[in-house]
Amino acid sequence: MKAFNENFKRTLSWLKWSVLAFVVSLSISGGLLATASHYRNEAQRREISALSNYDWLSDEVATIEKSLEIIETHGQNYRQLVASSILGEENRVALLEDIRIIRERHKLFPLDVEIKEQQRVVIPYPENLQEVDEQLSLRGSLVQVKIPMLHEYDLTRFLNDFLNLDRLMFTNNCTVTEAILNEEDLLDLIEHQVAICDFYWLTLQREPFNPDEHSY
Amino acid sequence: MFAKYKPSERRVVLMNFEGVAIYGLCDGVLTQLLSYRHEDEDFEGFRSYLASVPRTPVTVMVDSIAEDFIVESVAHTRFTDRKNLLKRKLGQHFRGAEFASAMIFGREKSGRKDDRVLFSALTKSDLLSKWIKCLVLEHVPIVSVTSPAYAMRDMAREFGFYTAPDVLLVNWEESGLRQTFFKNEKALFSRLIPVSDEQQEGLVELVRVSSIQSKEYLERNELLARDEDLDVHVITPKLSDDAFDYVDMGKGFRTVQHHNPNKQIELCSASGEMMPVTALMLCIYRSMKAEVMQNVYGPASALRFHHLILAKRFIAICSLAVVTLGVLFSVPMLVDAYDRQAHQRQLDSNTAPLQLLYDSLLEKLPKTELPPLTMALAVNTYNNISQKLHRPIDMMALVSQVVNNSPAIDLNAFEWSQVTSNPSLGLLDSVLQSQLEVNVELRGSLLGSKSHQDSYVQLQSFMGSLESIPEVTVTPVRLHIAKEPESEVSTTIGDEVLEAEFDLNIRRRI
Repeated sequence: MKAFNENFKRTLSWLKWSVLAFVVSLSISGGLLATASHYRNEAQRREISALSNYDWLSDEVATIEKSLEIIETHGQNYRQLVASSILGEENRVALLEDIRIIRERHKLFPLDVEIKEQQRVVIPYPENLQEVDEQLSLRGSLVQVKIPMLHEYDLTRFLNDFLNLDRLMFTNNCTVTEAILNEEDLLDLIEHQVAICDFYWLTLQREPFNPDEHSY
Repeated sequence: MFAKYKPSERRVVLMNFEGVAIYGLCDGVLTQLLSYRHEDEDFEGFRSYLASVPRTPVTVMVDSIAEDFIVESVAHTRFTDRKNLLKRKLGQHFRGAEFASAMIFGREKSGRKDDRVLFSALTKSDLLSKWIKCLVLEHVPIVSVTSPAYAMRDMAREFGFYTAPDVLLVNWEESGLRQTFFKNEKALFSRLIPVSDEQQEGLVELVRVSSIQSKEYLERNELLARDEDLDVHVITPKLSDDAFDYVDMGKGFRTVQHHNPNKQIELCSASGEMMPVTALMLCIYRSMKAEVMQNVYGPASALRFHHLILAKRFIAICSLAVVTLGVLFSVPMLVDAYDRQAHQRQLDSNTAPLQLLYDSLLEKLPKTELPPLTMALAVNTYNNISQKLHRPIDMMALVSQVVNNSPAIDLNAFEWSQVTSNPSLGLLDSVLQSQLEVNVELRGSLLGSKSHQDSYVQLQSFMGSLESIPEVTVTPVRLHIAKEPESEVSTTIGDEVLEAEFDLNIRRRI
């Protein structure tokens, strides 16, 4: 064992420069590899950063161009929607006032008006959008108007004016029935017919975006 | 691969009974560089010489009488078992011999098919040990330790001496006459016969007699079959080519040829004198020019520095390989990095104008209270709904036209509604998805006829007129007379004018 150790030491001493050269070459090779790898990784990182920056700018430019196009196409119509309160809260007092004006204009019999609780449904976006802050909901309140009439022209005149108010009115139902009159009443200025009409008063409302209410 | 040495670097140390001679190549000519005798002073001189010259590799050839050969059959084994068995056998045959060899040259053809082994050794090796010690102390790499019997094998093949399976080579040297027996190109026996000065004159006769003796020895030891003829090749610089043409060798010799090695190469002394060439010189010359002689007797301790040189070369090659691999793997990465940098520069140059465009567009973009997409959604939804909204007045006008053309018709009730065509949807959803239909219920009566038939026909005509309105479907809900056999009819047939009541449903697709 001692002889083996001595032999080994002698061999090692003979080969020490060769082994050192090998270790140096390993270090050089390893250093070269590490440097090349680091250099490549750094270049890759910069390339990815430049690419993502370019992609982001491209996307932003496309988005802005699309937004400008939308504003150009729909801007005026949108402003009209806001001005006419179609986009906004219902103003029930204003509606009643408008009905009063119509009745007075056409000298109609007293009208019974009922406005029911508002319903809501979310308007879905046409595609799955990731970066939206707001959503729109379609609100509808049932407005029931009972119109006693002398003649069906009363209904025609009322509907012409009522449906041409600057509101989105969806006519749901209109029923015209003859009143039961005696012969002597036929020439009297009393209601000969009754029309009961249901309208859905539609408005659009802005709300914070809720992804749970959008399924694609 | 690692053991390649340049011819100019190689040296052969030939040891015989006189001492050692060192041979090398000078300008391509085999030259005896130096010689030393087996004396203490010469050992020191040899060491001084070795210390003074570059440590080029050396082959030691021992031309000695004290070389024994034993051929034996040994049980066939493998790997370490074989190694241990042969080592044991060597120890048995040549107890304590430092320079010994065991070589398997074949197998028996029948029976157990034992291995046929040639055991050989340099039995008196004290002087050899001293010379080798000088070499080792001066760190000279010893490539091999061999003897003429083994060295001549390749030389004999090169010069075409294997004219038969069994060949006897007889070569004259300064140390004596050596006879080596080759069977199928493998040396199985060799002996050196000292030649006195007197015997030098009768060399032909000496060759004849010793050849016969050798043949008898070979036959006795069953190395040569008794009926097998032997080819003899005599190699000396002393005799003429036809020296054996008329020599009667006796039975058992097929041919005897003489070869003068002087014709093959030149041999010079260090001072430039020409020296006679022998078979050994041919072997030495061949080992300089072609392959180095194989190691037969050299132990690991003697060959240590040669092995260290091989190890150094191996490590050097590994180092070079490591660096080369490092470069090989690094270069593609560097090329890739360069390409990526170029791509990044291109992207940067493309980004600059895009950035300018982005900045200018951003300046142009007005601030809106609603995001543009939401704005578009609001406008599109309003347009969609408002295009699909229908008014009862439109339908009333159309129905009124038909009623006016049917004076017998008296309407009691007109009910108009916009309904969903998909019962699973609520009204607001139906409005959004434009799944609506206009539905009209007409209630009235037909007057003026006493005949059920006439009333029925007029009602059918009235319904037909209503169906002429586009996109309309008319369905009678209730008529004054039910035609279906499963229904009941109850009426009065008399003189009074009939009042044919009806309920009609009118559907119009939007």
